[in-house]
Amino acid sequence: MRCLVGNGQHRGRRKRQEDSFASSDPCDEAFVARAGFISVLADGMGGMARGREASSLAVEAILEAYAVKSEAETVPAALKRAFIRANEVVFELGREVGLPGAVGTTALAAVFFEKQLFWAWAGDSRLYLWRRGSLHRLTEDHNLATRLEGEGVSPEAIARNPEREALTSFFGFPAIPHLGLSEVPLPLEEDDRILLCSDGLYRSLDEPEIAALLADDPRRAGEILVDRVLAKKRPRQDNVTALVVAVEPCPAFSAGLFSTLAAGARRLLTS
Amino acid sequence: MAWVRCEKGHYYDDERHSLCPYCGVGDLAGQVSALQNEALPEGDEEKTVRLDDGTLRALGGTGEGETVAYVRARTGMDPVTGWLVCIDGPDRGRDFRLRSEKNSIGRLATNDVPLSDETVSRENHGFVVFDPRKVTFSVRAGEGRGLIYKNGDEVPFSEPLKAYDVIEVGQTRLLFVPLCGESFRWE
Ligand SMILES: [Zn+2]
Repeated sequence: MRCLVGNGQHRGRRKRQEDSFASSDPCDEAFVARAGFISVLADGMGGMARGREASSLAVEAILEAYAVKSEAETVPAALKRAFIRANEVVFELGREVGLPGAVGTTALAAVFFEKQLFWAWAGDSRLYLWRRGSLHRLTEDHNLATRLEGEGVSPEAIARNPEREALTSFFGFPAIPHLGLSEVPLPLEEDDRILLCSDGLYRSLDEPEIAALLADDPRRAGEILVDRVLAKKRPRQDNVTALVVAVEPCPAFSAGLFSTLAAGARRLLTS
Repeated sequence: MAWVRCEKGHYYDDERHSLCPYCGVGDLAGQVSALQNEALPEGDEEKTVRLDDGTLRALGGTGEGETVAYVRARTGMDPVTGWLVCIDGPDRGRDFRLRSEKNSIGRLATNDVPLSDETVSRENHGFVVFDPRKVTFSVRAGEGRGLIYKNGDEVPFSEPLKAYDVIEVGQTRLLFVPLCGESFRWE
């Protein structure tokens, strides 16, 4: 199985870019055989000091810790280990700057391994699966809105709660308050796509819009999603990051010409 | 399109960016030396093997099909003709490749010179034009309300460009560095 990867990012109307992201190298055969392919995204917390540093440290630490996965270790175990390690690194940063617990970041990782998808997260960055044109959310936001929903509070009351977007889990505490893990891996099908995104994306685009744009060439889709967010010209647009990975359907797709023509034609038709 | 992965794990099209646009510009010294390495002609020899991918630019709605066809008919590729280097603004330290005919400057990633400056128009704020027959460059005003300046003077329509002229759009200043001219041209 091969993957096509693309990503897009913009600062929005914020002073700094506090989102970070990275993907492993799908051409590194030894890594792929042992650990598959991993994409990571983190959204550093604005109201806090050193948000950018926290998110980029988290991304690096997750990749580094996951990369030492042995063949014997399962993917969920390796992801859990990587998240625990990365949280320690972010907590350490908070202590270094003299603000323990005041430096924070969300974190989200998705792994393709042996035709299955695994994922882990803390916070409100989201993972979506795009399959045959429809979008399925695979993560639940770790925020107050989700907690209130679980307690049976009405959507109207939640929408009125000014704290609804407050996170209930993220990196930066001595331990992760709530670590989300895929309970069972998801078997991947040809032409499945996944989207990792920060809240700056899904607060500006609705799911049908996201689904439509994900039909494009996966390598371009990240940039196209971010461009669409910017086109909305929201006055307080947050940092926005989109990372798209597609399971390559057939060798002809990688030959490039066919998919390039198809994507180009599609864009001409839709523009 | 030549899709590459930077050492930090970001993906980008190296036909449009010679450096990863997602890596921070914090390490300016490192970027400048990388930029100088990139500017060597070897980088472009590599490009000749990526021929087919260039078609995306022509088909991607940029309307530059003829441009690419013209240069490619002569050289077998759509080669770099010069650079804009950001010396002031959010992209300070970053360089942008120029190719034949119209190179658009704007905020969206679909422009040839995509800037992060929020005061720049989304698309076609202005153009740097390379005339492949005369082997000359010019800067041209765009389609929107945003103005474009050359060495401090507004460009009402089109002005010739010479090495190290400074183009100003929004809060961004771009230094023009030609590759093609009297001493060199793609044959
Ligand atoms: Zn990069």
